[in-house]
Amino acid sequence: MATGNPIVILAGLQGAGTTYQLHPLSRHVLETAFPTAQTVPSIFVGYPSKEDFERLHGPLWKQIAAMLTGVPAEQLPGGLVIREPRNGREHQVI
Amino acid sequence: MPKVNHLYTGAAGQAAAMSEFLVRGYNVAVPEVDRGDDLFVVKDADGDFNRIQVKTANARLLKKIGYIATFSISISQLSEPTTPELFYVLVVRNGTAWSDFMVISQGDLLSEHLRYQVGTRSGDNVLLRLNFRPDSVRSGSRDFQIYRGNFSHWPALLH
Repeated sequence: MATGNPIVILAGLQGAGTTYQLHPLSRHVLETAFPTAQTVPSIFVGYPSKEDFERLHGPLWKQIAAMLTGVPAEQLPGGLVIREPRNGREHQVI
Repeated sequence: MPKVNHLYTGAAGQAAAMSEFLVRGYNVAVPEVDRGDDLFVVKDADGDFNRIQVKTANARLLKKIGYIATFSISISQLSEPTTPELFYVLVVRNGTAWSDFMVISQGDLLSEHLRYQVGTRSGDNVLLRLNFRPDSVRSGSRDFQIYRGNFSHWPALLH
């Protein structure tokens, strides 16, 4: 992933919620840019059904990114994208 | 050892992996319908469970020392994070014995593939080729020894 590309968070949609995980290449970028940032490996956020994914989670994506990266979302180099690996859909957040 | 249909080899490897969890005191459940998760490993005391994908390969002996085993892993399964996290148990059959169990999380394997170019793409799969020596396991230039027999996520339980 070249410098200037957005930070990518992978989103695995399951029946009761979605698991968020930082893309390995984005993790590498952030480890270099913010070596002391405190991160978590993944986050699970529930929802009543998959149809609620964007509506309920969309407003939370910046907070989720901050927890996964240890960095406020606005400081992420190149912006932020939420990617659903199953179908390739991407949600531009920043 | 006569050549056995790969379905039997896979089933045997799954049973071997189950045995490794059972002997550590964890219960094991097998889904009725195969939808990608081979096993569920359950800690009976508190209900914690993990999803396990077992892959089995026959060792191919090298001329001097060691052997190679190749595993095919679905890229779509590898790319998608889940809760609980998926673990891969890669089982190697060498002649008449199970010689190795490689235990690696989805996150770690995805990182190895994307960040360090471990494995090669073949259609919808990643072919992971592992080179086994007595004191090392490597895939290309990457050291996989830390995953060898590493069931540390499931410490032995006292019942």
